[in-house]
Amino acid sequence: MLSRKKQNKRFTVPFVFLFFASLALGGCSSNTVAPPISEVSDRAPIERTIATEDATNQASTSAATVELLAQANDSLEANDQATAITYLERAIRITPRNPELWAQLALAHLLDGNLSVAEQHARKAIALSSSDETLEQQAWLTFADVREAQGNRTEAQGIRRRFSRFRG
Amino acid sequence: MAKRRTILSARRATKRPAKRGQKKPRSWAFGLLKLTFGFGLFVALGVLGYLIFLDRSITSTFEGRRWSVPAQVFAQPLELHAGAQISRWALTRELSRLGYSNDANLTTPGTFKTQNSELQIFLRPFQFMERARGAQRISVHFADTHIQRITNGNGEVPLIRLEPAIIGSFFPSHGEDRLILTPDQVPSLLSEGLKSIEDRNFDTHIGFSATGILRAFWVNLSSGERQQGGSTLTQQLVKSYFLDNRRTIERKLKEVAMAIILDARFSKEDLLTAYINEIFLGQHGNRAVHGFGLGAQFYFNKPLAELKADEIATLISVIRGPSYYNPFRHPQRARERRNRILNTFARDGLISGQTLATSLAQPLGVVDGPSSGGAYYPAFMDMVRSDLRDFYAQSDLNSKGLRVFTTLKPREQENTQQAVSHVLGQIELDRRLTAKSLQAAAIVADTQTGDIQALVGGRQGRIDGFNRALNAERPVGSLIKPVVYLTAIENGMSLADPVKDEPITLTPKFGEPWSPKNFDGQFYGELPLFRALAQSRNLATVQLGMSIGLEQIQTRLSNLTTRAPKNPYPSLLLGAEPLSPLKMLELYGNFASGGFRTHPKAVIAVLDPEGQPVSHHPFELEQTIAPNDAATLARALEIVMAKGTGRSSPYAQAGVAGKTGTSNDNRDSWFAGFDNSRLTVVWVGRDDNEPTGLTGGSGALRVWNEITHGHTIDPLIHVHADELLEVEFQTGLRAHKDCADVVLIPVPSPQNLAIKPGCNIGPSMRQRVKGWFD
Repeated sequence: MLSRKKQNKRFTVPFVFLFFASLALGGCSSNTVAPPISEVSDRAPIERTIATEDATNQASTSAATVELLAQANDSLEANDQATAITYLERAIRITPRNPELWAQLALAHLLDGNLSVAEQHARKAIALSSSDETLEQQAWLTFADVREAQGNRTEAQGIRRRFSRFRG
Repeated sequence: MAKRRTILSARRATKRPAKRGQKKPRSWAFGLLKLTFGFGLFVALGVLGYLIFLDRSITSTFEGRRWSVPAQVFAQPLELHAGAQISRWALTRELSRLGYSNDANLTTPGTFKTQNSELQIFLRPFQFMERARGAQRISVHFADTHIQRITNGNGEVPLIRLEPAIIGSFFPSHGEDRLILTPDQVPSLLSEGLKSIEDRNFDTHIGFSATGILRAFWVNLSSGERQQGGSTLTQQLVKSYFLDNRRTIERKLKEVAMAIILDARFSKEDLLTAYINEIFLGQHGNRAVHGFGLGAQFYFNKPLAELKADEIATLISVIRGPSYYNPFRHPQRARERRNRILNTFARDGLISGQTLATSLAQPLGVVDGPSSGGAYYPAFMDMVRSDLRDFYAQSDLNSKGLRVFTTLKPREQENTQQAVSHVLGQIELDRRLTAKSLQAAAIVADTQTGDIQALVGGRQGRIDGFNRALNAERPVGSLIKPVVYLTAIENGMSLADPVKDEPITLTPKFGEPWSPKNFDGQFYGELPLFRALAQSRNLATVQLGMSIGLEQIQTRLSNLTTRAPKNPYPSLLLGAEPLSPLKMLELYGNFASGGFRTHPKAVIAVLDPEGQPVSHHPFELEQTIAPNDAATLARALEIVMAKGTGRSSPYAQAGVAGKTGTSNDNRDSWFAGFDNSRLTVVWVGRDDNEPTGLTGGSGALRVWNEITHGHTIDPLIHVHADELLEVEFQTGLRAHKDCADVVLIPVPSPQNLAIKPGCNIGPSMRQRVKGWFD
């Protein structure tokens, strides 16, 4: 899958750290509910229960999503976060409950320096991904990146450790 | 002295007529000449000064005004991709709404044709938010009610959009609305046609034409009616730009002078384009339609470039008398004039004989009425205006030619509006209420993004009046109860925990004691939390709320709605708090989205006329409820529909959640409901705040049923379905469906829950598996 390949590149640690180096690590506290981290790491993998659309429908909806994700990633690589955000929001309007899109949107906002927006979008990705292990990992790692950018390195590292077993 | 003498001698000299007799006429002539010259110079200087003044003022006005264009507002574009739920019939209808016409040859953009199960479309070019899309031909292949695949000349297309419908524009209070065209967007038949009908010497005259006046006089005299005007296009432009409608000599002279100046100052092409963008072509309410760009949309719901000869002739015919030749009101008269114009076109060689024949045979072809086609949604536009208020000055919206992209889904909007109008009429009939006494508001939003897809501010959608969806603050009644139950869940209570539905009297420090009542005047004693919510028990809710603490509930409510409640008393627990439907949408957004307060929004982005982004309005959300608690509350609201006050709905068992609300004496009837993708809030009541006799279930819920009838339900997902437990609805005791009327709820520690006597329940499979490893 085209988008997946590009995404993995995005999530490599050196890239993310390079970005953080350029950010003032002032930190920004949040008074909202933190996702229940302990529950996630202990929870046994749950079988997918989503079965709202028939198979054809689901597969082809994602073809449109893949296209927009790829375009968004091209924009991100060209350092054009604004356009990437437009593509990702368009994709979310087509499939609003797709956690992969929300995680990527969080990343685009993170790269654009909108840390509080990025945090909430990452939380959204986590909330929507609880039925898929890979997506959940992606969402949490994005959340860790946001936390790091906010200056909360300990929490970021804690999350990364939890999900290190998923990394190939 | 010398001076005086000279004068005296001069006087004397003039008094000597005899000797200098032959010189006298010369001197008189000279004096007269001098006088005339002086006067002439004076007048010439005056005229010149006036002309310079005129020149300055009209040149700057003309140049400045060319850019005064109201912002245009667009709906959400329809996304086409494999899997999209839309039938060929529905897509054809959508294309017709955008003014696409059926054309077997697909000759121009804005046409389509059907072939077997395939729909071929020649898409128009459009400047979208992130990029421009050129005109292109695509084929859409269908399977039943969804799109199977889309192809173009190069192969498969993963997704593509129709251009969005125009839903309004921010024309200023004096009412001028227009769409600006550049010279290259003007069809040559229009520019040549205008000259042919209105001003035959346009290319050669100096802004004013004496021969034109004579010819018009002659044509009108010989035909016996006022067929031609003597004013040049430039003069008409001047009239429309700078002058009022008085018919005085002074005004006429001014008009001619201005026309000559404009003609000297600007190119013929500039003037013609200005004319095409300026001229008045019709009126609808306080909206004045100016220019052929908007005229084409207003009368034909199409871009000007797609108009055929007969349609161009109709637009030209309107110039002479937008009211007298109004194609909506006087179709016969308009058609006759159109045909005369078509004949002139043919005589002047602008169209062929064949085109003339087919054009003459065409009906007028205007849209049904001024409000359809360029469909305007005033209630939604209020929301757009309020979203933009913080970012743009009114004058910018009126003049800068901005393009506003919004979240509106026209199909959703029309479905919602029809449901409101239809059901209110039905309720009035069923209950023998005074006709037209009920009013309503309804908002539909996406559960995850907060995008407002439809907004209805009253039973008559096209009328720009009091917007109840945004501005009517009414007591919300039981719609507030989920906040109490959510706070209980967040304090560690389970949906199966018992609450007491018993009389209670609260005596405040100041004021009267308060003894709330249940809707049916009875009390059920102890009952499980979920059932107290499902059956909307007032006493149980007050007992529960007071045991948690009123302050905590108030804090939670402000947190979920970004607004502190005004009512400081326990009656807040039963919804004695006036809130607008929009605020209720915001509150229920927390429950429908899995625990995120999602800002309801109408504007996605604003672009300048060149397509450059001016502002982007991203999704705004904030996690307010832990995911598990949000899921638990959503489950309880599903039981409200399946077994509680929402059970009369035909969709009660379809995987939807919701809550009914009724204020004191049945003055306000509320319903808020959601499935996986749509959140809807409905209010029904009277503008004079008199009782209607309706409960939430018999009023607003019926409107919601009708709205929901218009689309397929996207049932709520239970992510942890295997963790739900069967309990008896009546008692909350563990049971199974063979021995009791059960519902499924999440219970954190099932082992502590008593089993209904007579129900034989062993440990669940999950517990047994877990037991093997312990």
